[in-house]
Amino acid sequence: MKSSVSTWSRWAWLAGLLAVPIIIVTFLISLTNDVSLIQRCTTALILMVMVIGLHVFSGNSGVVSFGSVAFAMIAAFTSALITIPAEKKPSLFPDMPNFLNWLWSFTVPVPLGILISVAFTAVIALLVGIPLVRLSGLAAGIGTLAFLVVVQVIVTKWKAVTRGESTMVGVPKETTLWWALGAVVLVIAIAALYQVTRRGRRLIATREDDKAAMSIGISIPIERLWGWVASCSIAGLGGALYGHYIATFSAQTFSIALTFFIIAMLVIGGLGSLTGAVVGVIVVQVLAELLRTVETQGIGPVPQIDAPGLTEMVLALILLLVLIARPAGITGGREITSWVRRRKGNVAQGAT
Amino acid sequence: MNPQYIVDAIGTGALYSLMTLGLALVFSVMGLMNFAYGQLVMIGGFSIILLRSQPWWLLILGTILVVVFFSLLMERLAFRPVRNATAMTMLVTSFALAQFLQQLARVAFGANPKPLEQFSELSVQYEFAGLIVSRQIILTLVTTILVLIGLALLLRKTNIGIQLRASTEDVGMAALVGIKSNRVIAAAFVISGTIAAIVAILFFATRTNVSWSSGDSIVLIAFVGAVIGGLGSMVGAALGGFLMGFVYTMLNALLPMELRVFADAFLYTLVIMVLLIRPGGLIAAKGVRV
Repeated sequence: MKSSVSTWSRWAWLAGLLAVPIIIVTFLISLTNDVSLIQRCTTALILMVMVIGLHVFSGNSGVVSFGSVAFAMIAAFTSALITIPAEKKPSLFPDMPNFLNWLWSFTVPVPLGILISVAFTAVIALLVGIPLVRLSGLAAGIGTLAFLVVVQVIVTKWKAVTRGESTMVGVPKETTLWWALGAVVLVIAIAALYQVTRRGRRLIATREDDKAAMSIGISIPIERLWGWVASCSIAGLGGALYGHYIATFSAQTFSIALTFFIIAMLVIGGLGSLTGAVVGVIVVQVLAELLRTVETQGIGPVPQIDAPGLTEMVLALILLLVLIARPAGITGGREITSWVRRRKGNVAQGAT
Repeated sequence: MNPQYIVDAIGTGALYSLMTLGLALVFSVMGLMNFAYGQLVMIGGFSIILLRSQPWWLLILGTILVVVFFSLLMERLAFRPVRNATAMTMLVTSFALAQFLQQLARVAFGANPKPLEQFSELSVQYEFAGLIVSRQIILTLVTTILVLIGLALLLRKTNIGIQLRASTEDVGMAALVGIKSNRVIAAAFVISGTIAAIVAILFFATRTNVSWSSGDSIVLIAFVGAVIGGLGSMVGAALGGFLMGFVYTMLNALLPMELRVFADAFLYTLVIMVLLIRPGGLIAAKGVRV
């Protein structure tokens, strides 16, 4: 069938044009053997997983969600609880409630732990999503924000299981640059597939015109629920990878500030396109790292400036200026394929 | 149940309803959820520290002027350029602005909280029928009522107030009949800034320090209060904010000891339930752009 061929080629173009440059740059960075550069690149790739996760729901549905970090947090703690070596658990969790004592008896390898935690996150996302996807606009924003606060309070205060403010320690530190790269390529492939195939196109239709979408038989709650569960699972993957990367974390790691940082990257890149999600992370992370370098050691003629908060302040100022100059984000919400096709004279085929 | 809790809950509720009003007013005029609103209260806190040795009327006036100045400045420099962008872009703009102001305060005043000399005259307590009521609570209640009456009079009796209400109903239509959007929106930011300054005075009157992160919890409460109360409705906002404060204080008082640390989780679960039952808020305004 002709249409399925064009769907596959659109998928391959979109995923390929985004993933290949990232793979090349990551290889080049790995060749430098610069430990700090490789660390920064790994962090950026993990954040990219989370931002793409948010894009899958918010970008395609147009509905704000502040909840993605909550799912990253759930996955990070779940994976930690099942991958921490069994012999360490009694001393780390002396007050573990009886109904969770079975957690003590086993340890799973980290890749399996990440897989299980993503599956667990998907189940929670489904349960929470069934009521939450009925909300739109700011009510959806507040509903998901309230969910984030609830998860944060529980994780902070349920000390017996999460160690509360004394942070999770002893988590196997296994996430490498290659794991992060693999995850990014995987979620780019999934997100691209979702938005070029029927399931995702239906969700995009509800974003563009909810009444027209309903009139041709699209159920808004059902389409949103699909996008939501996919989005939260990807956020969970990012969270679990992050947990196994920093190895020591608490509920404070997955804060409202991180939530906004992720949303800001998505909006600065251009809300509504996968390309925007990728570009937003790269632009913001490169800027943030440049500023951080100035703060710690200076770059070229720029002397080192030692003032806590200055990096964040200048970063916020730059983000503000980008938003004022380009309210629709750097990509304007268009996909990379729409530029490539335009050059071929085939206008706006792949644009969403 | 000890009725003393109710007195404290009403005091907190009144303060929260003021916080919510300032945020909701700007939202109803331009559809902007101003996340930088909490930073206005934080700026108010620092100006209180700087003006602490001045006579009380100068302290109040000075704080209001400083906060209103920043409020107008953020409207002119940050929000006017994105006024016609999507709600999401405006929200993220206000977040970036909030980050900027917060880090600016951190650079200017240092990372450690600045101690604030207590207002001992406000902690004087009175006893009515076995209930202990501090001057601070009385002051908060009286101020809240005065602000509500003042706001109602302003919105109903003055020219700018009527224009404001017209813009709340329909910005485009109001502009067509000759109402200058720039003036009306600036007016909303002046009122919102004044309320933020009053909130700062009442809020920091009971605190021992001001820090660059002081505004965060405030804006969260105001944000949630405005949405569950009913977007675009001033009465709804006041009610939503009041309920946030009232229910939170009561939860802290009534929950069993071992669950008390989870008070916030209970509060925000209630918020989700309210939204599911009434997505438009408790008192939903007509024709609000959500």
